[in-house]
Amino acid sequence: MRAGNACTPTRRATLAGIGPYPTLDVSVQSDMQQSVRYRSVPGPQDRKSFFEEQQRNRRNTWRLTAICWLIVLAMGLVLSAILTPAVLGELAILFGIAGIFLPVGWIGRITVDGYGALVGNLAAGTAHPLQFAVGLFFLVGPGMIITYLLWRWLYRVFVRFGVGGVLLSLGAREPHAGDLEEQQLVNIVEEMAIADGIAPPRVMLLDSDASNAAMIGASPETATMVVSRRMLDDLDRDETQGVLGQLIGAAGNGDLAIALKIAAVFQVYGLLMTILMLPMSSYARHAFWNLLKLSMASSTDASAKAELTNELLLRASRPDGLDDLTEFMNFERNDISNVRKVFILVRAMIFFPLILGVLFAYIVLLMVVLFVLGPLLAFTWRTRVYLADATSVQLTRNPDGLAEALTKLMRTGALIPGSQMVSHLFIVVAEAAGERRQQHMMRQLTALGQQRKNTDGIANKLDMSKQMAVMLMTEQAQQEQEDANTFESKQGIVVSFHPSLKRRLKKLNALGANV
Amino acid sequence: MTGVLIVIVALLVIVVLLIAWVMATYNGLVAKRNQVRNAWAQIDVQLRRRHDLIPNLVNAVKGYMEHERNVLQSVTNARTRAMAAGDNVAQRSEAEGELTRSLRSLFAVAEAYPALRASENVQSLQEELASTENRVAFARQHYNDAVMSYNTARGQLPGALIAGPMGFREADSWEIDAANAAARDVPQVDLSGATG
Repeated sequence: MRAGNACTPTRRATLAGIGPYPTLDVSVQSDMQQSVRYRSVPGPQDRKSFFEEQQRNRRNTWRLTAICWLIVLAMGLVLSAILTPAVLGELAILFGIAGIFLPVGWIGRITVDGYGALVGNLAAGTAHPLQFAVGLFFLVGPGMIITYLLWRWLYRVFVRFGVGGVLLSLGAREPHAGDLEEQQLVNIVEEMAIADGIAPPRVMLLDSDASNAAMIGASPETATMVVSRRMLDDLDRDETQGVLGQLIGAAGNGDLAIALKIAAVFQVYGLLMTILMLPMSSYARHAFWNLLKLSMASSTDASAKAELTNELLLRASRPDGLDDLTEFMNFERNDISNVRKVFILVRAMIFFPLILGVLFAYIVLLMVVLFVLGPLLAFTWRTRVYLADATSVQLTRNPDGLAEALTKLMRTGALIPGSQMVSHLFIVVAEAAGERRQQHMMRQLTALGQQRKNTDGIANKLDMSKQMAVMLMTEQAQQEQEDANTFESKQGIVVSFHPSLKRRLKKLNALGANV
Repeated sequence: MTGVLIVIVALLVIVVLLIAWVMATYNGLVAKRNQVRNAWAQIDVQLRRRHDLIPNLVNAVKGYMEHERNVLQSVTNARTRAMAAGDNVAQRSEAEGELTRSLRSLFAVAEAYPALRASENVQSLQEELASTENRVAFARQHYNDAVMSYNTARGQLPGALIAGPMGFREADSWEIDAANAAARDVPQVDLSGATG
């Protein structure tokens, strides 16, 4: 990292001199035209203003919170349509059993009869419109309201405790006082905070091999900037400034709250499944109990528990959750007595409606996340990333800094271990590593191909082909393993939350960068 | 009868919407104006930070630069003048410009002292000072951005209708004209030459 930045202040001063009209900054343009020969560089007319770019992205993304709202409500609607009969059926069975001993059997009958009558009326379409609306509300309203309330509750709980847990699992440390690079980092963070007009966040470092950085927290005031030491060593001052400007700009744009709301959407899924699984899975009981304890806790040392609770909640909405269900119904084990087998069978029959409900909900959920929710959230989140990139250019007035940094991070950037739940807040993701590996593999394949041309004999050629196949498969496995560690894949989303680095560089070039 | 009722209700709705709109626009303008004021205050904070750093710097380099008392004295004097300049923008920016120039000559002279350049304490102070220069620049930039946003809001149509009557005056951006071009001179403090 260079100690001073001889270039940017002068450029900035020129900009300040001509007032807030960055597109008129012709001197920067002419510099660029000299240094590049083979590519056409956007001239002053072609170059987009970062203010315009930001506005465009804002228009695209102001709806994100609204989308979360709609998703939660729609989820409530769908789930209540599936789960209400399951829960009511379950209640009817339980009350029916209890009715053998106590005079409560009628409650179960009434719920089922009432529900049947309601659905019948609605399906027949004979009801008065007002009656229809009220009936419909009773049918799906409670589910929607419950889902919405759970969403808000989870958001609150994790706003309070989520950050500390993440920092803990990342192994972040305070900057060393005597270290010049780390002193410089703190300074740059404060400079960028001034440029964005927000309070400077706390700065922590990660002693990791991967080069990456993120701003983690619930709001700009309480957030923490985590930067890997490797990134400080890799990037110079201007580039670091670009990266930190991007992260601080994102925080200033309100991305932190949006990220938590998105996370809460998935947690609601998990929580709903957890609640349904309560009678059938000890994991679910454990997770629910943890969440209750967490929401009661008042001190910040509960943050490690927050991380655990999050994991447990998500488990219910993943295939592991179904394993619990299978285990619950499994009576064909050898290590248990016949009495126990009968008990398991009867128990499974008693909880049959609930099991069916969970299975249906699970399938619907899978479809929704795979085809609707995942892509929707991923593509909207990408516009937030573009917005933050444009904001970084506004703050540093130096599109080259961020663009160069991204190019370098494409080589050394990778997912930091322990960052799975917040990978979407980092400046780059595994994709960078994937791209790197792909290039490496292409080189190896070409070399192999060359070798293959030169060698004689079918046996040799076969051997080469085998090597190629092995290489491709290893690559695939590595890619899958790395992808499995991002926030989105944890939630079962196949679309990456991060736009490709090439796209980002293209947009930065349109803002005047030259990389 | 129902026709009259409908007209009355429609009028009421329009009035309520109008009031809500005026309130929203007014609040938006107030928020933006406060941003401008806050950004202006931030420039001041950063200039003061520079004043606070200079005694440390002078103390740190004094031992190495026995023969350059004039330079050190001029930095100290410039700082005193800058601190005494008060709130007048023109005077202030001239005094700050002078301070910038004297710092620059100090660093230029310091180039000749290898021991000084190697000193960790001085390197650290130098980084602090470089950062402070950046902070001043960023604070100004933020101020100018805030001014632009505010002026756009009060000049464009929904805002323009109520900005004038309600006393939202146009804010001035921080211009660097020929008179105080000194402020444009940023000291070159890169004497360590260290790369990382």
